[in-house]
Amino acid sequence: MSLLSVRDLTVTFGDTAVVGGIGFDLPKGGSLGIVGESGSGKSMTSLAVMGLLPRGAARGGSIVFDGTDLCALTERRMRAIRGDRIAMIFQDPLSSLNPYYTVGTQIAEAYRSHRSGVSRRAARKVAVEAMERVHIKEAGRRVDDYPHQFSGGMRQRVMIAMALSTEPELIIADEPTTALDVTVQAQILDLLAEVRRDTGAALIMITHDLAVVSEVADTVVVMRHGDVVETGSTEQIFSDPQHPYTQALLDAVPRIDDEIGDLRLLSGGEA
Amino acid sequence: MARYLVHRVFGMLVVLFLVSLFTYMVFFLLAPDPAVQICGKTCTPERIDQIRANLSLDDPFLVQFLHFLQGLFLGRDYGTGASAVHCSAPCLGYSFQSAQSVTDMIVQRLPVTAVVAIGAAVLWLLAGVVGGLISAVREGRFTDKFITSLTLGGMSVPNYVLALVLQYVFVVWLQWLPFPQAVPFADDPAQWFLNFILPWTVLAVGYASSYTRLTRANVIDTLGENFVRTARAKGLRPDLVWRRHALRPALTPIVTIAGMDFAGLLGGALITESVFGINGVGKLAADSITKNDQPVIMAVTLLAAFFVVVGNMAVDLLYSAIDPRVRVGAAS
Amino acid sequence: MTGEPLLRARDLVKQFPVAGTAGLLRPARLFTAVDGVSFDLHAGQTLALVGESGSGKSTTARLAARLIDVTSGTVHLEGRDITALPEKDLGEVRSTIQVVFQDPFSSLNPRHTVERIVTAPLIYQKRQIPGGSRAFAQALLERVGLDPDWVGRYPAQFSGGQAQRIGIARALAVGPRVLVCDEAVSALDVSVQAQIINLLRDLQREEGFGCLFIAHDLAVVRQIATSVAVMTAGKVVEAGERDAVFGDPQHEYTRRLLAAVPRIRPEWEAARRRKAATR
Repeated sequence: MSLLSVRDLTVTFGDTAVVGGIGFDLPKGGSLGIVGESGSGKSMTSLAVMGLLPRGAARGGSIVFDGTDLCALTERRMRAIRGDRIAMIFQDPLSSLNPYYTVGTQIAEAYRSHRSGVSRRAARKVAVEAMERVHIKEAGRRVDDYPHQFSGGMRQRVMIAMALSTEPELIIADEPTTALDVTVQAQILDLLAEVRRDTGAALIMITHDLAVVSEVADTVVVMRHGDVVETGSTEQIFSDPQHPYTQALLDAVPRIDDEIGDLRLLSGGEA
Repeated sequence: MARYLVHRVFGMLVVLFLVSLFTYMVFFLLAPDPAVQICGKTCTPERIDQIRANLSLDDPFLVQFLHFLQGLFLGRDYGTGASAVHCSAPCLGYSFQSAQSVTDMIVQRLPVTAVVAIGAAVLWLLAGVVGGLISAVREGRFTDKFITSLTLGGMSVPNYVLALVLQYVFVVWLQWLPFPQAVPFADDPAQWFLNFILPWTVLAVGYASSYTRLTRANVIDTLGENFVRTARAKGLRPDLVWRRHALRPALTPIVTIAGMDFAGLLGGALITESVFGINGVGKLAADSITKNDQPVIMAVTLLAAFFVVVGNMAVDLLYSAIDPRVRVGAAS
Repeated sequence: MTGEPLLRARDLVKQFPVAGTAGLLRPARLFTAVDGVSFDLHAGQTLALVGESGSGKSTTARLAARLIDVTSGTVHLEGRDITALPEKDLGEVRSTIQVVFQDPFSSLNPRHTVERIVTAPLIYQKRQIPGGSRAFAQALLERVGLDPDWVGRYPAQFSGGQAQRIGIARALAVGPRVLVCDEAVSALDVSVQAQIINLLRDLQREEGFGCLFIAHDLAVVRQIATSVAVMTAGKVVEAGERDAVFGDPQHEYTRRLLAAVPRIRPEWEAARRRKAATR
């Protein structure tokens, strides 16, 4: 059975649809990549699953998570799932952490809000353990540091520790490495893979970077202008793309291994 | 931290020194001869000479200024021999008008000015923060627009107009408030308190309006921050998202600005105090300016500068206590 | 490459005071952003400075373009020492070196029309605009692949890729010999990025300018550079012909950097191209 099954999902702002009736499935422990360029609706899709759409946006269709339609849940019941069974990691780790609180407080906060009767001390222990799991050195001391005292990569580790603390079944990562240097990106991608191996969590990775998706996902959803243009196994999408847009997108990716005579132009795209 | 404090105190002293030097220079260069003023209508040249000697008015500018500083920190003597008057530190001289010690005049009036400032600050903080929060929560709706237009009015109405209107409405017309008459707090606390309601309100209206706008803007900005989204993504209860993640960052700048504004008011609220006949530092300043009472003007100017500079420093220290990014250096 | 380089940088050093470290009498601690960087840029060549954030690559480019002053070292432009050229003589430098920045919108004045934007460099330098302002702007737009009729539009009416084309058109207006591209394609979507890379390659073929290309994306560098200098912590750790650096990296840091780049599996890539060829 699917862990997550999205059907006819729409996100609209007034009369404008930014996501126009899409669907995909994610098995337990699986990993799904959603790729697309800016304006493709990939981030709105992830926020719709979390129930965190910005003010003025409306959601339609169904998002069935482990047998429950999230769209039909009250905000209160959704809140019990959000941050507990589904956790999210965002693009910019610095602005995603509150500068006024220690990272330990912020990690523990996620845990405490979903487990009743957890003492401050117990939550702190959970935070230290989560930080150790994402390989932050001297976690016992750094748990009392503030976000600005960490480097960009370390901040993203803190975000991942926060997501992990409640042992979620699904982690949604929205461009988690886009703001990071390439060597740090590689470390964070390795970390995400390790976490999934250890906890069996499923992953939705939202990104514009096709190479990243090819390394991370089992299944790939290609989005454009709010629609899914193609879904398939990662191997199929990258070795035998069916849709002309997917083909053009792959043609445009600059390769590190060789020079391509001319990066071919996307049909219909204008720049 | 200690190093930082030393820096700040040093900088503060430099500013105060420059303010006093500049103020002293202005009076030295521009003001009419104080000796003539003190002497009054029935004056003889000998008397003027005596006054000049007593006040050392014939000394060069710098010498006079040094005497002034000496009086401030060590105390000084006016005149010589048996007629000499000792003025102990902090000596700000004697009023040309009443011959009272300026230090005494200020010490007498400071408490009432502090009462005016504290009451007004409490009012405007309450009104500004609550108004701003309501406005932010109801962003774009009728309540928000209504509050925003109120603040526009509050910011544009001059203090003296507001004072007169309020006096007319509440004292003369509705008679909700008694006609103000000076009573010491100990004699009639109720009357004392009622006396201050209008001055507090008049002073607070302008500040409350700008604080409402500031709070509204800060809260709306903060709610758009990524870390608020993170807090929601954790599944935090909305009240906790607000309390922990939205309010603290949004209100921090307001606390600090309030500190500055409050310090500024301790230097006296000229117009409000004068209109309501409150015998505070502000009224003293207004009176001394109309009467060209130089030692008093000099003293109230310095006092205002002192409060602003100290307030500024206090706010910076407060800020570093509130904001960990200031308190704790970044990772090396 | 033989002959006199267009742009020659020797031992460039740039130090910045660290904020908040100045004492009452003690000067602020200095942070060395660029630490002894040298390079030559020849006509028709694209030299890529690559590195991660904080490597000093952008600062190096700014030093070379005289947008900021060096702490020490020299910059020669077409054989002339421009290191200490006073502000008033920089006009000539500006018409020889032009810069294209990362964020196309923030570097275009939103209140000016495209015509005014692309002719501004000439007007600042009080030069005659050949053929008149309108015709000149139209010709420039055409060269960067935009509709010449758009000269009257404002930046907000363009997409990110189009705005970057306008940035390039403005840089080309003075007929520069050196084009500095400071992360010029980093903020763009992959399909748009590919088009801008193609455009830069085409323009360079036509005009023969030298290009100093600052980027953190090694795959992009691979597509456009002829030579590469790898920077970290303010120093160049490896420099050479592109294929040598990518194919046989000598320095440990270069190897680590290259290994970290995510890749689509070569066998998938090969299969896809085979299928594309038969389509």
